[in-house]
Amino acid sequence: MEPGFEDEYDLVVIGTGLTESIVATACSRIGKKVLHLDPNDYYGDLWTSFTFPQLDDWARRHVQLAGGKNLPDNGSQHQQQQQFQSQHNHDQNNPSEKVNNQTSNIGISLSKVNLTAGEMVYPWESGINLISNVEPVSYMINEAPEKQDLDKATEEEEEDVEEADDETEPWTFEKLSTERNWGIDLVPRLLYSRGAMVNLLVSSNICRYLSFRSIERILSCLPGTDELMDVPCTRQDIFNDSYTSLIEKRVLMRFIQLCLELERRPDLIEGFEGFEEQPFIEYLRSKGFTPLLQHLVLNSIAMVDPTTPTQEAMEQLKRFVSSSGRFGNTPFLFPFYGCGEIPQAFCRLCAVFGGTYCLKRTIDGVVAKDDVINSIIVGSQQIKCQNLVCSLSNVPKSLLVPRQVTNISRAIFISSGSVKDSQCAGSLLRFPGPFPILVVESSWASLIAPKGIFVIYAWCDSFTGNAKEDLLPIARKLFNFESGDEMNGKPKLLWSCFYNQATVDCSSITDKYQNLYVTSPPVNELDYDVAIEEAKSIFDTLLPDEEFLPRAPDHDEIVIEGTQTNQEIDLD
Amino acid sequence: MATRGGVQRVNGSTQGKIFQYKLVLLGESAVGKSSLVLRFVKGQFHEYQESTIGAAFLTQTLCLDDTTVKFEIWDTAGQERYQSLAPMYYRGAQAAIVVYDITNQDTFNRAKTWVKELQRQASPNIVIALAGNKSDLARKRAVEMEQAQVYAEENNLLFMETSAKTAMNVNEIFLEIAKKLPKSDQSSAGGGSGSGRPGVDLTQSSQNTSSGCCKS
Repeated sequence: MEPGFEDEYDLVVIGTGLTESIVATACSRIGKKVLHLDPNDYYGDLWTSFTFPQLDDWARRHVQLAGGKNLPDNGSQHQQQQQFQSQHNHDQNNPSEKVNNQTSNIGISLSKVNLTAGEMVYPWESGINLISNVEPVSYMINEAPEKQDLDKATEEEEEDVEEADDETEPWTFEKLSTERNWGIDLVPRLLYSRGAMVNLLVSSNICRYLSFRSIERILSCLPGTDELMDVPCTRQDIFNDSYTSLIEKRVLMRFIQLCLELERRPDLIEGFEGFEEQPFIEYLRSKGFTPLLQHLVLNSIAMVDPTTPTQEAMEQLKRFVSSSGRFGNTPFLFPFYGCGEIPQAFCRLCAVFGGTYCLKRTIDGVVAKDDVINSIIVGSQQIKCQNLVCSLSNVPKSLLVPRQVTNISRAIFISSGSVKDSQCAGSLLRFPGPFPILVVESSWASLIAPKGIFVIYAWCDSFTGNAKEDLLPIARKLFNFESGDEMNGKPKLLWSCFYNQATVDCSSITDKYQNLYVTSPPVNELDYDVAIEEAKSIFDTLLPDEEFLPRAPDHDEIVIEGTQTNQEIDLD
Repeated sequence: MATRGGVQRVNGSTQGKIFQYKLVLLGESAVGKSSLVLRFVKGQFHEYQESTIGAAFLTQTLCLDDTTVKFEIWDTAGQERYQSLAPMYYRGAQAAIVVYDITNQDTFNRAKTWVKELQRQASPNIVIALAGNKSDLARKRAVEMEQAQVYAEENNLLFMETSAKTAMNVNEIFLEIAKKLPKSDQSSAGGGSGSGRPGVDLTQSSQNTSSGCCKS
């Protein structure tokens, strides 16, 4: 029998995704008592990093949930919205009926729930599924079957002929599954070296639990081809680049210089030569940018559309330039062991300041009076709490108001080579278009895969409603997608998975309880700005007069006295 | 207050090579994990140690002949309580101390599970020590020393009975771990944390974050 929780918490949080974890940590950090639960047996919810077997299980489970077959489904957005809607009024039925029903769902007998006048018990059903259209494919040889044995034999022969370096045997499903060094992200991100997440990690001192690898290169797909070029990011790169002419180099160099000056003198951006509201492409043309330079600046450096107003594009450029050269050639960092480390790092600080953690647990019900939740029911325990924070997938459908859902198309490719000749590079690649596609390549060098393995992520806002349809064109550019074979300079594809992830702004997604806060699923962004902003806004609502994640003291700043309380060790 | 048999603290200047290692503590709640660290790092002991302390990340340096070993010690911060320890905890750990309470057989059984977990999840070269803590309470002993000794030998673990209260074998167990850790230049490169870690360490960068532009 495991020990029970305490009888009262300031804050109960369900879901260990990033946004909830930041809120939990910020509250714990300033001395609030936090209980943090997650129905999953892993940290991070959708923000997690999986091992290969975990990812494969996850994919199969979702294929099964969808009824075994994953037929392309263009109407998925609509369906989701209908789902929200149909459940909405479900709550209006007779509360007494609800109380009778809930005894079977809740592990505590009704007579043991302490109810004061006006309080009611409501069961807490599991929430909505945000994942759809999951299509995993393995290109690897599996164990045993005859035909595949033959394949294997011929491959081995080939290898003998080639006397392949130290490449021992081809990757098999079995071999990938037994490797332990994995950190494959469902929602991959990069961090700007001077972006919101890096700043928060440094200012809160949570960075001591993490380390990062800088992304070595930014790639660009030359228009109309499958050819990938390295985007020159520094003066040195521009100087050495073989794609750009001498004149182009000079234009680009001068432009980067201008962006740097903008960083020092933000006032310059105000009167940007009359172009502020004009499309950025117009500005670039006026400055004599060749089509190649326009392509590079628009798609790889500013990462905006041609029609983006110049002022907005310049803000993006400033962000890029101010972050580049801080830790490496490009402005970007990627966490060792995968992005799933980031929510874990927050949770750890939360625990260090007294937060209680329990995975494989969620609440079974709430006790509420009118629109205020007074306590929660976990197993056989009734726990008082001031506020409840839940990730969207942990909120009962019946509490949600209808909302327009945005669908993000995502893909994970596991390969035994880089998308462009490299032993270990981390890369960022952006395919422009009305629905721009971001591609992040990470590898074993970031300790997210066994040696020699690359993991390539792609994502975009869905325009067909189906991840595979959205992302197939770029999958074909990067790999010999249908066969998975290594040829024409494209690496061997071992495994791939497409999936759609729904997201919706949850700031007012429920109006049922005034002390229930719902966090949004991951949105389509490269860094973590939106998630941090949302977490901070919830924290500011909960505790308007408190500081958001003040710096946690280092070990040598901690004085340990006879009895410890959080206050005594908090020297800030 | 503390006696540090065989262990010297390093004062300021160091000679020889410095090797940094991440060391994690594992074991059931209330077996004395935090107390062991506190005894080792600060030379202190508190009879009524609260279950969670804010100092779940401590460092201590040992001199070992001509080398210096710096331990970056991670305490569980209570996350083990409901079997909810984050994988981040084991990442890149080169050493682990699995602690049980000699007066409680259940904690010994649980220690065995932790050893299995480490063998499954952690780096294959991790040095694991088994500590039978609270040896000052020998009259209430529930786990025989021989039993633990045999188990440790079978699993290639260092083993000692310790007492955070009397300081018995506390420095010694850390010292034995330090001796057993590989001392090659790469040895601390696979680590997940600390200044010996590879890649970009943002704690090192916090000083120069104010400088605006760093482009050459």
